[in-house]
Amino acid sequence: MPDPAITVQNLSKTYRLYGNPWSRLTEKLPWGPDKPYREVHALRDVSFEVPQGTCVGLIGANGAGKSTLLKILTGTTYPTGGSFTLRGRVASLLELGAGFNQNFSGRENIFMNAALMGLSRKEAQAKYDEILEFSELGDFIKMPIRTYSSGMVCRLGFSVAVATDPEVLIIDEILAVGDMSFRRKCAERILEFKHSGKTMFFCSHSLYDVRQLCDRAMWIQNGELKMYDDSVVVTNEYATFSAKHVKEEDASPWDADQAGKPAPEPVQGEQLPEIVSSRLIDPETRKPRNTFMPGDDVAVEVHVKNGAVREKLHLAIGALRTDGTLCVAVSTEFDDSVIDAEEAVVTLLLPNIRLLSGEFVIPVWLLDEKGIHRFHERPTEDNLIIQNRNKELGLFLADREWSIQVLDVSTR
Amino acid sequence: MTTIQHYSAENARTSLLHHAVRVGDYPAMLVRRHSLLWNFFRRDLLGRFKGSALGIFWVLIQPVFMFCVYFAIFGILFAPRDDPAGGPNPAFAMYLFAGILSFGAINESTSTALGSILGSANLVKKVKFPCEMLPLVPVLVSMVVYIVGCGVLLIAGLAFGEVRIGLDFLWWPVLIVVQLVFATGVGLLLAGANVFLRDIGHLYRIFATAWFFLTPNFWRLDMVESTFSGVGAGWVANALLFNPALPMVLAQRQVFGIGHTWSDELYAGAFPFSLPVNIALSFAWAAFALVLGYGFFKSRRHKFADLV
Repeated sequence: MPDPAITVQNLSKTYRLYGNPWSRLTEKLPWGPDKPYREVHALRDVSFEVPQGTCVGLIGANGAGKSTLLKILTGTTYPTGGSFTLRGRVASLLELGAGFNQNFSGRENIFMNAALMGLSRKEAQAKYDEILEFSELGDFIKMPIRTYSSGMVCRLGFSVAVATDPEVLIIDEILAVGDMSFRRKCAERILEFKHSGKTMFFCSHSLYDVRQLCDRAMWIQNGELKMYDDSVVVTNEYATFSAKHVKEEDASPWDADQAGKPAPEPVQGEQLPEIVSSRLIDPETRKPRNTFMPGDDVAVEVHVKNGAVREKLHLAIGALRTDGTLCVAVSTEFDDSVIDAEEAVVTLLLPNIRLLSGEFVIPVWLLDEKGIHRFHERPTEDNLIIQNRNKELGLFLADREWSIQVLDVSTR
Repeated sequence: MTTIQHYSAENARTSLLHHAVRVGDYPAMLVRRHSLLWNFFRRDLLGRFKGSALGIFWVLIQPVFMFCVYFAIFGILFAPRDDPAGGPNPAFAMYLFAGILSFGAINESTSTALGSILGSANLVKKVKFPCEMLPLVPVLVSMVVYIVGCGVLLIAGLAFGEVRIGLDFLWWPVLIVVQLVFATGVGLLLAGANVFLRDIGHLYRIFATAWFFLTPNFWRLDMVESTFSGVGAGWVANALLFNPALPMVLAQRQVFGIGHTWSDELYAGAFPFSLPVNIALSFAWAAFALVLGYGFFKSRRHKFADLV
């Protein structure tokens, strides 16, 4: 058993917030104010180990301490208690293009950033073509960065970072940047990292990504390690917890990566796979129908079109109650099926629907072959409406059997 | 071989002394990360002139123009009358220009180094790299500007016959390194302190102005004696000597042989110490500044990312 790639013992980080800069000075004086600061515990006594070759996803609400943990492991900020050990070359991506200078060309910035990451000029030169190719910047590489779009800056930043060939990769929420096709390239590169037995530690708000990419997940809450286990187990627990403590801004954690972020820029000139139409239909007549009763058969018909680069696709379909609760989500990937066609009509039959009264948004996602990258999301034209004629209440129809055993009270 | 990084908050050394005695790690780090230093240096130097029409030529234009101004004003208009020749006094203009080149390099580099950590907040927060390298970068750039300025001094001085290149000139590279080390040490100290108390930046600007006039830039040391005759003259003169920039600006002039046209008496008054003594004094100040600056910077470094 090799040593773990990351060992963290009783790690704590306490920030001291001073009312004003003076008290930071006067505090040291014998007659100065006693504790003129407020303590904020960003991390409390966190201990864990990440075995080599494991991919760990870090989840938790905003301000839970995820970023602090990543920053400590990166080595930019220091813990106030405890210790950590990292084995292997570490590359850290807290922000893409952090060392970029706007007035210099992409090329100059590649060398600058490579030097920051510890590459020598020679190593950087050797990797230059690879970086340029991966970034897809072409002749733009000679232009100052200020002329770049934000997507291009991200592309360049990611390209340099992955070129350093690290053994341990620490990433803070970067799958959500850049345009569609580049996001996908990033995800693929990260998968490559994973498959080549490298250790990854990354933070994401997308439970879906964590479940798809990671072996294990870590849930941090209020600076404490709440759970560290198999990624499916942790994401389930976290989703349950979040649903109970719903906040308006992130009603559904499954969707959180989409909420509040601008839609990715479409790439000009490159046609990506898309959902042409999606609708709820009556499985028998195949006519549009969106009102059903519990126990009815419901079907979703989706017309998908492959992109310029024809590839294998997966389709995922869910049902979201209007309050944001994800009631069900299925995918062709879960069920070992795949769409391998130029164009296709996919029908999902849900016999004997168990949902009870309510209105449900039916999101449909078109995913890549690995089920990671989402090409397109398009909810059905109409929401699903279930009307229960019977008296059951709640979310779903439960099969049930009652038995009533009469107790004999006469012998008492 | 796998690289292992370990950090323990309990065992972390945060005493100034601990880091001060390990000042040797600083040049070692610079050699190890020379590629990064070169990139920073290049970016800073080119960045200053990027987008301007004349570009890097400003490095040359600036000292030429500065020399013309000093020569016109202090060599002709307000030339000191007590000098034997009287009238235009190119010797004094040279004396002035040489000293200000040296003091200007120290002043400019430390003032810029002061903001180097706060100015790179994003880098310090997001990227792991030896950030003690940052204050050195503007110092290096200022030294380049200084060296070009000295080229102007050399040409103009030889033309006017006020500069003499002798054996003393061999001390020049030593002086450059000593000034560089001194400015880096002060820069480290200021840059680190400025993270904690941003008033340092404003304070230093005022201090630098006072420092400029308290250093024999515009005056010669012999003028002190004649101004403060009587009680306390010795005390004032001695207090003025306690100034790290003083041996540097004097050595700068001695290296270029400024004052060789003066009378022996005047020369002895203006340059009470020989060049090696000035270099030695400068070196002592530089070593002290670097050890203190580096020790302070490194001992507080663990707090930077949270405060910038």
